[in-house]
Amino acid sequence: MNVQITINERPLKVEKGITILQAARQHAIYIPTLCDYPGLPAYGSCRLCIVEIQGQQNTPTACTTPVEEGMVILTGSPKVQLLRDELLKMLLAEHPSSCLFCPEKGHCDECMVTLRKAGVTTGCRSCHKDNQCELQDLVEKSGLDQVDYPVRYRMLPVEKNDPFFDRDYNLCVLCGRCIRTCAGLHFNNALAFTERGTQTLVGVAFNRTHLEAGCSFCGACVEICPTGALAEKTRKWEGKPDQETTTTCPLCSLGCQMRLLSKNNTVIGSLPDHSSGSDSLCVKGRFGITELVNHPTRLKQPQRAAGQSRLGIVWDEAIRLAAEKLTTCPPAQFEMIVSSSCTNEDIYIAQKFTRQVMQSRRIHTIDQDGHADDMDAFIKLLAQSQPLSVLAEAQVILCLGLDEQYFQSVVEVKLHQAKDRGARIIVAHSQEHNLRYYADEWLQPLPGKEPDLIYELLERAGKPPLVNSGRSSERPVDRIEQAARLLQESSNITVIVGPSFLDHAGQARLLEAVDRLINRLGARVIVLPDQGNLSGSLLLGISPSASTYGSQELEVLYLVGENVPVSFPGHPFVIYQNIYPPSPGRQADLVLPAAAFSEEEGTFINHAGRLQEIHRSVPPPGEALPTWEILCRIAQKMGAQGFDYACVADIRAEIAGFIEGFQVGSFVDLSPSVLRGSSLLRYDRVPTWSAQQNKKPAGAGEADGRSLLTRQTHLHTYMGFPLAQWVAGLRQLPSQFRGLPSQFRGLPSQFRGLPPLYPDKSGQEHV
Amino acid sequence: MNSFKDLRDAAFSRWEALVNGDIPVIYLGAATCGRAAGALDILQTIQAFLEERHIQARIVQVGCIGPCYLEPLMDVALPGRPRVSYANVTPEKARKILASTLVEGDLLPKMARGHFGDDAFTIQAGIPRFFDLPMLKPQVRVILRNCGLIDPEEIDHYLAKDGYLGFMKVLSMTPEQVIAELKDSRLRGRGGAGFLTYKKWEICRAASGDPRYLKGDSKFIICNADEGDPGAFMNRALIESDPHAVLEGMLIGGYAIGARRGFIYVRAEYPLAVIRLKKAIQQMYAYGLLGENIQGSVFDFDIAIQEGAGAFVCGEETALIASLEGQRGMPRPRPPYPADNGLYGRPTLINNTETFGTIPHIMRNGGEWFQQFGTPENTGTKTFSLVGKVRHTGLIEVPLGMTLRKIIYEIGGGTKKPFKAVQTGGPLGGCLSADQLDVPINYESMRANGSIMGSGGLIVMDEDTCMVGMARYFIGFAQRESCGNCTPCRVGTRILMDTLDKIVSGSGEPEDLEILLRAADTMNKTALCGLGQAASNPVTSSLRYFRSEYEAHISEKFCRPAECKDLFEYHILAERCSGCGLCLEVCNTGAIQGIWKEVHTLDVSKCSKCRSCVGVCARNAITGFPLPSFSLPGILDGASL
Repeated sequence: MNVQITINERPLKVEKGITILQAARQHAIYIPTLCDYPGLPAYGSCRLCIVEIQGQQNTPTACTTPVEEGMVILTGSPKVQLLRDELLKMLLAEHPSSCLFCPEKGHCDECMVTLRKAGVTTGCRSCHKDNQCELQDLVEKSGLDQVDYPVRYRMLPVEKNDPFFDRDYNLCVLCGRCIRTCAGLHFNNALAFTERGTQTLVGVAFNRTHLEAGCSFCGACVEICPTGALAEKTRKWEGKPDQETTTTCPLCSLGCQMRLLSKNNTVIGSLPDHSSGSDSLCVKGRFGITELVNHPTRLKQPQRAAGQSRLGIVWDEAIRLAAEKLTTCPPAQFEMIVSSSCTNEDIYIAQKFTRQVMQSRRIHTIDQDGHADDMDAFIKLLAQSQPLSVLAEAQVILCLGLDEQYFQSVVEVKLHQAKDRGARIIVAHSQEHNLRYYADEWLQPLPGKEPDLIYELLERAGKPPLVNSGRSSERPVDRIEQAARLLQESSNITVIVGPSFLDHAGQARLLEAVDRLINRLGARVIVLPDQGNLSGSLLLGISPSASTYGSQELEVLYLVGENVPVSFPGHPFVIYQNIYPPSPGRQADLVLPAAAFSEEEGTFINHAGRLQEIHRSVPPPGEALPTWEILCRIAQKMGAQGFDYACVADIRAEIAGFIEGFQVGSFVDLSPSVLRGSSLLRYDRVPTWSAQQNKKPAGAGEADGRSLLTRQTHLHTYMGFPLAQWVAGLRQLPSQFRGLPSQFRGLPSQFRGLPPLYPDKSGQEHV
Repeated sequence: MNSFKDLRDAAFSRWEALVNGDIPVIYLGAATCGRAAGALDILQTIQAFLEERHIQARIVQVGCIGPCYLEPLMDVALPGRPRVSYANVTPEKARKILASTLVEGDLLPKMARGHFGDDAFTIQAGIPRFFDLPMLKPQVRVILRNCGLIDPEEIDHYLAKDGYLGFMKVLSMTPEQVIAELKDSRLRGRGGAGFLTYKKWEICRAASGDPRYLKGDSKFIICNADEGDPGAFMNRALIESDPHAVLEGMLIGGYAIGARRGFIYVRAEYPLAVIRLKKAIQQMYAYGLLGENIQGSVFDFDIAIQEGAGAFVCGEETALIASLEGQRGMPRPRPPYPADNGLYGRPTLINNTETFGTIPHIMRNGGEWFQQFGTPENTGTKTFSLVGKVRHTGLIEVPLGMTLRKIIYEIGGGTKKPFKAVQTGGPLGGCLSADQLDVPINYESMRANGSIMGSGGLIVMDEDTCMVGMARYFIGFAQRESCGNCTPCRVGTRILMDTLDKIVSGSGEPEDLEILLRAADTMNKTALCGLGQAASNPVTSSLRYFRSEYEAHISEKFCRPAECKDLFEYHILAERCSGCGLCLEVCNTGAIQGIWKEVHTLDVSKCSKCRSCVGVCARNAITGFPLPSFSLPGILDGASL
């Protein structure tokens, strides 16, 4: 139903029930706002959007007042303008604003080069949000030229205790956006108003750190802050980005769409791409990217080993050296390990190189090695995986081994939304973690006993309910029973299989159990591996290797985006192609600098089989080249045909010739039949050495509960290295220390014991 | 379950046994006000006395009858004689009174303040009627009719005073008839804004509620007893003295709008009120006046008590609802109004304690009966807490439309020093000067004169009060109690405070007045809730009526009442000092030195300007001098201070 209103003498027909602000926005009428943010409920705290309504004495706020038939509204009458200026002055009386009205403000940057080294923000020029501040905008638009109210500086120290972002509440205008987005859109409730009256501030209850308060560091509050109160540590002094590139996050299989911000050909930050429906990023994608791709140790130049150290060489020499070694290498003594952090195109070229140039079949990824014995079950499960959007309809959500607080906080938001809608959540996880606080049922198997739990659940769900008639001899209705009832009664179930189930020791039995459970319940499944492009590596013919390996020695070991193993059979020539240098002390005879995901074009396949693009945002550092290009150059040097691609699009077109539906945006079928069908991308099992090396410790958890050997199953990695090695803040997150006795939690990180500085991918510490 | 008639009959006979029994009854005003004045000591004295002398007498702890200045009040009713009231009782005095009344039968007419009997007794005993006292005579007691007369912890006393008759009458009516009756009465909400009460009830009645919830649980009733104004105690006194009246009002409200559950949001600072409410609710359950199928009807109702945590802003209805829900007590934007979308998103009727306390009387006597009090637009009576520099402080109830002059001079007995101003409506209200004394009290006139009716605090100030300091005190209160949510209130109160601080410390500039007015105007027009909108009233109203005083502070650095300490330093005038040593005794900082019978001296560097010495000096020898730094010649005459 529509109503007729008049805004600024413009007759408008607008939908009934919307607010004046919404109506004005629909018709491009500007009303200044500060506390309003799309998606957040109207709040009315800044009061800047006051308007005059004919026949009303007071000046109501446009954001909270619904339109009514015949309303005559003035958004900029002198009366309103005057009050609005007063309000703005009041805000500025509590916010450092000297620069706003400084007559010299235009010439300030030229003269004061070191001004920004000031630890305290006293004006716009010494604020990191200069030129990106909404308050600054508002003042500019209002034409205000002085604040005659007594000003107040809050004299608060800048809070720097938490990883990833600093908080300078001297700059806060208390619009409450951060609090509302944390509670309303991200369901975290880490933030709240503290104190009252003039002392009101944003903060965490009982003055704890954000870490202790359960903040998941999704960074939504930082993004939404209109002023400089919240600042990303890494981006703080970078200023306004000059370029935004829409791309895909490569750090896990969710493949969230994000905007990479860059300035002067350097990545300075990443934000969720709201336009593609991606509401948030997790801590890795939001705060990790900058440090990851800009790390000072990034490789910039090819190097070859020279005694104990390495010497920089030019590309031509590097290519020649590689070609030389590879030409003489017998196929049986060549092995290539590719990271599943690489793009589809890179992976495709790598396997084409191995199969066509080297005539070898020994190409694999370490990420798949763990699945050596159960690849069929794994692929079967992965092929059924659905996008996260199915959670919007689920009545019951069964989360298996999902650990969502930090590294997949995007899922947590969806789970909360579902819960809000009335869905029930069942969690099965051997360890206590965030999810259980809002789950309806928490089933805690002993580590290693997960398959038994699934089987019991399966069995109970198929049987009539156990009724507890109150007699004490009868078995009480327990948690498993309640979970089974929930599952039995619902017709719309979604099962999420998280990293710790997928990476589980002895997972053949577990995955089979999960598969049977899904089939029995008729449930949808979402499979969430940690690795960014595991699906792509499977689809493009990187096969899991057989886990037996002979005594054959290697002659050349080619590592594409993987770290060098601690030891290997024989004394091969190790070609190491990555974005970071190998761990200290590891053998790397030839080091080739590659481009990170922010520096090349390509595609990834996410957990649901969707083909998603990444885009080049900045050029690679130094002489680094995209992975595919290095491989192509070597192949060409070796005289191979079919490696003369001009760009990534050529490679993609070639892949599309083999794989049906290989188009950006479409869902690629991952089912085993398709994978085996293609001629080039053979799915075959070749015993490789490293698969032997990376075999999971079998039987962990088989112990009878007295002593139990478990291991950190998923260290989130990029290009073969744990993220925490490059991103300082991630080392502070408590999930790294899960299992520590509670008295150690909340201590400063130096007392908790840092993770090994250079842990090997498989969790072994480098000695 | 006994029928209501049986309950009422039983209550009557018990009441009769008390007032017309053959043992003496001692009534003691033991509400918080009485207790603060020492009523509990008196209680012990009475008990000890009765035990010592082996006298049989009943002690009844009644609530607050009104005149605070007479507390503690002890009444003695000898068999066959009316209650006789004794004021400002001390334990010694109590013993004397008890000895002569109970033992000797002498009512001590000279000490007695008043009696509760008929005129014949006045002549016979030579004691005036209590309600003929100057403070009580002009009052009309409707809401307070039981206060101080019955034991608030006895439901029987309430029943005997026609309690729950209104509710029983309502049970035989339809909800629509109840609201029509309320409409007839033209009762306006006693919380301060003065909306016609029936309108809220009508909207709540009409609101469909959320069909997801069980029958009746789709709507709620809230009684707002979060009385946080400094100097206001009407609600506390009413709940402590007659809790059943409020509860009966809530029952009627529940029936009228179709709610099944009621909440009383009461300040935790009112522990006695909470205890009495709890007792009253227990008694109601026991008498079948709460719970399911109340008095055999199909009406179910439960009442729960929620104690507030001491935030003034939680008296604002939306903030109260947020607090009740367990959220931070912050006002929410309106619309939607609580009547549509209140507690937990369901239609909620939220009324002030006094409003609920008035309802039973309207229902029992009819809406038209209520109209006889007050004026056509402002019907009924209203309670006020009359405090400050007035002679007779206390809780009063007057018909709306009475002039301030009558209240202050007749009921209040006037002020000792010349009257200066009266602050109405609590910290969010405004002050009125002597020129406005003939303004009749009602919602419109108060607003027209730059103040508000508020919930009914009247703080009387005399010449000794600095109006700038007064405004600063109330702004300080508003600043501390602001929830900090919206800009004009959070920053505006701070701006007003800073500017007033500047003025009282002697560094005010002429432009400051304009800043005060501008900030106050912005707050008033743009703040989110009533607190922010009204917080500037003390400043605007005092500027309106006492601008010259502000100007004196700014241009002459002079505060006539010498309350703004920063503008003065204190000295002892040698020619007046008798060396009595009183000032020496009260000085906490050791600034005053001297020997008995010799002129004392005051060391300015040690003086904290607490003014204790000024208060005790009988010869006005201690005097404020304007600070030399302000270079104002002349000495203030101590006598004028």
